[in-house]
Amino acid sequence: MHAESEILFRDSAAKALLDPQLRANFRRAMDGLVAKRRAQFPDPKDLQDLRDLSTAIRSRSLLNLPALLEKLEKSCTKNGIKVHWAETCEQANELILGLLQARGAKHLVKGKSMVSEEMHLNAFLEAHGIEALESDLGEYIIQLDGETPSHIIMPAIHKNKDQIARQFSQKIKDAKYTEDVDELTAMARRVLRQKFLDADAGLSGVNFAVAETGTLCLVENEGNGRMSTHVPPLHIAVMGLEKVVATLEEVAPLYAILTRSATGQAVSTYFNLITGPRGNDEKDGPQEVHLVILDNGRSRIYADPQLRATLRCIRCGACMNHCPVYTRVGGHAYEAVYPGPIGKILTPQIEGVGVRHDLLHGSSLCGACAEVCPVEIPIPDILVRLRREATHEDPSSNVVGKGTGRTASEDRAWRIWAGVLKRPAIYRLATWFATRFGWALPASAPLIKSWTQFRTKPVPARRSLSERMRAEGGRHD
Amino acid sequence: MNATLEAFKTRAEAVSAEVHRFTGRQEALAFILGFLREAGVSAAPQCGAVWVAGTFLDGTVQAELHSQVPGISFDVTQEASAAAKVGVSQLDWAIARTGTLVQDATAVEKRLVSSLPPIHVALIGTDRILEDMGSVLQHLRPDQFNYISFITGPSRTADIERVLTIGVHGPEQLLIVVVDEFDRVTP
Ligand code: SF4
Repeated sequence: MHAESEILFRDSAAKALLDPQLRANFRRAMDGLVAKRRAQFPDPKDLQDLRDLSTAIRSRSLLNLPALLEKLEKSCTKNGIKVHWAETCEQANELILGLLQARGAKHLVKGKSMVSEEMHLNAFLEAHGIEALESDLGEYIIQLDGETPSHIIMPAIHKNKDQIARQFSQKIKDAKYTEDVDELTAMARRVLRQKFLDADAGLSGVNFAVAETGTLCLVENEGNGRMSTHVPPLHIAVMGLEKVVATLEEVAPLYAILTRSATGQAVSTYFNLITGPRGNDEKDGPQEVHLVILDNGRSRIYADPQLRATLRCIRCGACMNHCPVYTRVGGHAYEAVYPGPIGKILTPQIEGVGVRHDLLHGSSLCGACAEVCPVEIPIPDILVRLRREATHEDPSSNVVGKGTGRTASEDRAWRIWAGVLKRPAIYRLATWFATRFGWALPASAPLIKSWTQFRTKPVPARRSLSERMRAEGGRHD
Repeated sequence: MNATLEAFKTRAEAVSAEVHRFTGRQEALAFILGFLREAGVSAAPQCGAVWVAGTFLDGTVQAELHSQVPGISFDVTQEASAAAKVGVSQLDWAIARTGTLVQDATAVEKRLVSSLPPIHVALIGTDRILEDMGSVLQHLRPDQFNYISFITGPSRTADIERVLTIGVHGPEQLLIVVVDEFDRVTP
C-alpha cells in the first residue's frame, strides 16, 4: 500500500506558491532563458532538423549502449584513463573516496556535476574528512548555505543578488556587503582561485563521452571546469552510463543544440575534449585521470523500450524553463536532485513510483516540455505510463515500486465503484439519487471538496441517459 | 578583409573578445609588446606575462623581447601563470561561425596561460580560420591529442540573477591577434 516515507510535492509546491520573492526570482529568470533560446532558433525548420538529428543520435547511442560502453572503456584505457564502474551511488562514493585516500588527497575542487549531486558525494566526503568544494559560481553559492541546486543549469537561480550579497558578507572572510554582481563574482573568484591552487584533486562531470576515441567532452562557461581538470594532479570525472556516444562527429550537433537550448548561447565559452592524462615530459597537469561510470537504476530504465527515452536527456534544462509548474514553484519544491519535468520522470524511476507518486501528478500534461526538448523525450507520455505503473502491479514491468502508489482510500473508492457497477439494482438506485439530489450536495462536502477547491462543482443531469432513452422512445438493443 | 575573417571577427566581438588583425609578424609583435607595456607588465611581482613560445616567435630572439618588456617569461609553470597578469599563446585553428579559438592543448602550459592570468592574448594565422567545427575536427583528431580546448570569448557566468559577468575563473579579457603572414619569417 502507500509507501511510508512519501514526500508530497503537493505540500511543498503549495508552500512555494506563497513565497512572492521566490516566484519573482524564477519568473524573471525563466522568462529570460525562454527568450534567449527562442532567439537562437529563428527558423522552425532548422530547429526541427537539428532536433531530429539529435534525437536520432541519442536513440542510436542507447540502442547500442552495452557495446558502446565496452568500447569506451577500451579506448579510455588505451589513452591512460582508468575506468571504474559503480552500480549504486554508495559504490561510486566509496570508489572516489578510495582514489582520494590512496593519494592522501584532502582537498577536492569540483566542477559542475549533477551526477555527483545525485550521489550526494560532498556530504559523503566531508564525513570522511575530505573537503569537497564546488567551484561553479552557482554551485558555490548554494554550497555556502548547504542547499541543493534548484535548476540543473543555474543551481542558484532561486536567490536574487540581495540574498547573495547578504550571504557573502556573512560567510566569506573579510567580505564587504555589496549588491554589485561583478564584485560578488570577483569575491568568489578570489576565494576559489586559492582553493584551485591548493587542491590535491579535481572532479568534473562529463557532457558526452566518445566511445571511439575515449574522449570526455566538457561544456562550460566559467573556466572552472578547465581548471578542475588541469590544475590539480588528479582528475576524477563522473558520468551516468547513458552519456556515451559512438563518434566525435555525433558530438557536434548535440553540443550545438545543448548550449542553445540551455542558455541560449550559440556555443559555450569553453568546450574541452579530454583524451588522457599529462604526458611524461610535462611538469604540471593531472598525472592521473579516472572515469567513474554510474548506473544507479539506469540499466533498469534502459531495459524498458518506452522508458528508455528518459535516458536520451542531455541535461539542458529547457523543459524546466518552459514548464508552467516549475516556473511557479521553483526547483526545491520537487525535493529531488533533478527538478522540473525531467525530474518528474527520472526521480520516480530511480527512487520508486510509490514514494514519489505525488510528483507524477504534479503536471497538467500540457506538453510544453516535450515541445522544447532537444531530444524529443515524450515526457507527458512517460508520466502517464508511470502513473499507471504506480497503481498497477504489471508482472512484465521492472519499474521500481510498481503498484505501491495507491492509497487505502483510493483503493476503497474503486472497490465500492466496482461493486456498484456490478449490481444493476444498486446502480439504478445510485443514479436515481444522484440525478434527483446531486445538485443539493454542498461543494464543501468532504470528498467533493478536494475537487471543488479549485474547480466549479459539476451538476448532474436531471435524468440519467437510460431514463431519457426510455422516456423518449429510444431503443435499447 | 576576407569573408571568413570578417565573420570570425563579428562573432568573436559579439562574445566580448577583441580582435586585431595585422599583415606581418613584426607589426603584430610591436602591437603585442605595446599592449603588454600598457597593461602594466613589468618585472614587479604579480605583474609578469607568461608566453608559450610557438612558431610565431621563430627567428625572434626571446632575450630581446625580455629586454623590451621586462616581466615577459617564456618559462611557463603553474606558479608563474598564477602570478602573471597576461598569458600569451598561439592557437591552432579558429571557427568563423562561432568566433571560437581551437587549440591542441596537450601541453599543459598552453592551458595554464589561457586560464590563470586575467588577460589572455591569443595569436592566430589568418589562414587558420575555418568555417565550422566539423572542418576543424578534421585537423585535430582527439585520438592524436590528449586535450583539445575550444575557447569562445573570455570566461563568463550568469549564475547570479542571470546577469552576464565576464571573468569568473578564467580570463576577463581575451585579445585575439590575427596575423596574415603568420609563418613567414621576415628578415
Ligand atoms: S528532458 Fe529534454 S529538455 Fe529536459 S533537460 Fe533533458 S534534454 Fe533538456
